[in-house]
This record gives sequence, C-alpha cells and structure tokens, in this order.
Amino acid sequence: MHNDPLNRQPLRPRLIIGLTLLLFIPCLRSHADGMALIPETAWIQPGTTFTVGVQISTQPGWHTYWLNPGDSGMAPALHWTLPDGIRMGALHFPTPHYMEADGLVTYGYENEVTLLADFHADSTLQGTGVVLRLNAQWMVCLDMCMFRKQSVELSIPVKPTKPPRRLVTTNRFDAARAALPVPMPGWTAQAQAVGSEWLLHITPPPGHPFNPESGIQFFAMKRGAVNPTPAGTWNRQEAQWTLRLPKGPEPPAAPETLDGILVFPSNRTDPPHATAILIRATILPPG
Amino acid sequence: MLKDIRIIACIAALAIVTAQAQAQETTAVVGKPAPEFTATDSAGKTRTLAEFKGKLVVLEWVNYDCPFVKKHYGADAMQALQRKYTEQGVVWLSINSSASGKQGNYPAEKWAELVAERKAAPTAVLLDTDGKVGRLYGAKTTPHMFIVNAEGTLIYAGAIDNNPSPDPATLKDAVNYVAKALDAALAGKPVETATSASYGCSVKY
Repeated sequence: MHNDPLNRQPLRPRLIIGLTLLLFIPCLRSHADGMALIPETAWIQPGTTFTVGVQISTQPGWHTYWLNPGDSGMAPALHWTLPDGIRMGALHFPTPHYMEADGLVTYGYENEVTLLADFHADSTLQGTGVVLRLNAQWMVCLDMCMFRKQSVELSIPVKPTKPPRRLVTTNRFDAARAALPVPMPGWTAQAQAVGSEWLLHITPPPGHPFNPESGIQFFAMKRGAVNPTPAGTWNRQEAQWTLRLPKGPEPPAAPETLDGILVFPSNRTDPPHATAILIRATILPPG
Repeated sequence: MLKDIRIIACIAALAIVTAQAQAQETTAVVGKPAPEFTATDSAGKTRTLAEFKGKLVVLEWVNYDCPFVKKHYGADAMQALQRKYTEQGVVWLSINSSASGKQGNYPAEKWAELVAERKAAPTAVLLDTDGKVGRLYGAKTTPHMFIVNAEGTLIYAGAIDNNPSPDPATLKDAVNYVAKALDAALAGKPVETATSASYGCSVKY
C-alpha cells in the first residue's frame, strides 16, 4: 500500500496535520498546571472515613513543594469549606524528592503530586450528597516561581451502603499511598543539639539491614529547624547510627521532638520497601 | 630532599585547611561582626558596609519579579518600612544577587526606573551580579533580611515576617520581624527574635 504512488498524499497537508497534532499534545495531559479534587470512592457512607485526592500538576519539568519546602518555596496552603456532618482528618504528603540548585536545597515534586486528604462523615449525615469546597494556593517553580490560586469544589453522593473504589483512579490512590512515609515500629530515635549541629541518633530494629552509606537522608518536617543539606555524615556505634545535621535558625515545632522522615534511595533492594519512614526523635538535653 | 617536600606539602595542606576554615567563618552569624563587603550600586558608586559604621544597616535581598517580593512591594509594605526607618537614620540597602540572564537581573541603568515605579526608598540598590555578597551572607531567598547595628554586629538574620506566603492577604496579621528588630535596636533594647527561617523564591545565583 505504502509503495502505491496513487495513495501517496502531498507532503504539505501531512506536515500541517502533523504540526496541528503536536499542538494538541499539551491537551492530552489531564489537569496540566492546575489543581483537581479526585474522590477515591463512588460515594460516601455516613459514619465512615473517606479520602479525597488533591492532585497538583505543573508544566513539564516544573515542581511544587512538600510541607517543608526547604531553603525556598512554599508548602501548598489548602483552605477547605466543609458542609455540616463532614470533618477534616489528616492530610498526607507523599515522600518528596530532594532538589538542589545553586547550593540551595528544596523538597518537592516534579510535574505532579497527589496529596491524600482524609475526611470523616458523621453517622448523622443527612441528604443524598455533599459538596466539599477547596481554596488552594501553591507555588510552582523552575528557574523562576509562579504563585497559583484556585478554588474548586467536589460533589460526592451520600448512600447508606459501603462504597466501592472508583476503578478509574484506583492506581492513582494505590501509588500515592505507596509513596507515603510509614511509621517506624521498633525503631528508636533521639536528637541532641551540640553547638551548631543536631546529632540524630537512630537505632533500627535488631537484624534490620540499615545501611546509611547507600545515601539515606533526613528531611525535617518543619521548615527552619534543620538547615536542608545534602546527605549528611553517618557514624556507627554498635547498633546506633548517628547523623550530623546543621541546626536551622528556628527551634523544632514541638520542644520535645524533632520530627522528620528518613528517605531511602529509590534503587535500594533491602527490606522494608517503604520509600521513607517517619521519625519522631526525642530531644535530649543540649550536649 | 624528600623530607623538604614532605614539609612543604604539609605546610601547603595546613594553609589550605586554615583558608577554608577562615572562609567558612566569614559567613554571617547573628551576634558576630557582620562580614565586610564591597559592591557597586545602581548609580555605579562603590559602596562598602564599613562606610555606614555608626548606623543601623538593613540588608534586603530583592528580586522584583519574585511572587513573594511582589507581595511586599505590591501592598507598599516594604516601601513603607524603607521610608519609616530611613527617616530615622537607618541605612537600607536593597541587594540584587540575580546572575546575568536570570530572573530579577536588570542592567544598572534600569534600576532607578524600577525603584521609582514602586516608590521604593532604599538608601541604595547594590548589584551583586556575581553573587559574592549573597554567598558571604548565606542569602537563600528573596526576601532575606539582615540587620547590622552601629557597632557592626549582625543583630538579625532571617525572614521579613512570620507568614511564608506570597498572598497579600497574609500581610495584615503577620508579625514583621524586621520592624520589631529595628524598633528594639533604635530603643537600645535587645532584639527578641534575632533569627528566623527566611522564606521566598530562591536567590537566582
């Protein structure tokens, strides 16, 4: 067929069609450079907890920020307006990426992230549906930053039965959950301020193949408590590993604990397979 | 001969280590002498920190195209601080460390117009295109604020206020750390919040 000269179209119209199709490529990205609310379930059931995905997308290559943005940037600010009978639960941020430019460190997400917002529907919830309203502000940055503001709403039906997950978004929610930092049963953590540094002492559970030389990093949960830094220096004393981190200009959020996540390199093979674990280090008296 | 080379190598190594240590010590630390610097202002004049000895000096890292900076200039908030405190004898230096070709970098002759457009009132705008002063002070963001007292000691380093957002609506209820520190210093009192985590766009080194 292709060799049939009669079937050959002139080059120019084909070129125009091709170029026009190229122009449509940006349209193929759903919600490019914006924010969207995605319900996990087909409806909500009174007396249960449910999850809504807050999907933030950027132009290719741009990034948004974790709850601690690092040296610059801003965590997304979400202001919800909820109907009677719906209460806000936890907001979960997937493990962010470490980004470095001109010696400044930031934590965030390239291209797209889905934050998981939990809500509780009271058992007394009336009616056949509810509307959740979100006013969101966030920064998108590449070599410059832009401030984004958007208001969206989400209508979800209310039914008395257990809701199924929406098939179209199952993968998205599974991926977002798999990327959340996980709690650390069996691990102990302590932090001590010594001069201009934090000494973060970590003891993994017995038998855990913890190997910080493979590039395990600590990201503090609050901006200002620890200066964001490239991989710090780990030292081992028997079962306890110590990471030295530069102290930031502000105290930790709570006086008793230094909170953050230990982030494992994505190419590691040792268990557990979490991308990061939550660390709540008890603060010891200054050394 | 071999011994001589070893000794020379040792001395060279020691010199490098000492130089490194000194280089690290020159970064800005609150409570310590503010690092001296020399920079050219937008009028082409050479300015030094030393020339302002005896006065309170504010160093404001600025990039007029950064959304966080726009919050403070769009609402006439930064300019109001500049006017209020320069009238009381405070020296206010706006420093732009954007590298050539990066966001916020403008030719020297454009700055008078940019400042006039905003009705800004800094004592001078310093053009730190090579980022030397910015690196010396560890300026991370725009804005990033530093205050040097009359004795040349750094008395504040950090954010302009306690609300890390580019939304102008957040200005009303924010605690302005710089105003508080300047008021304290002018009244001869210690600065209550002397360090904070600066927020904003990254400095475009």
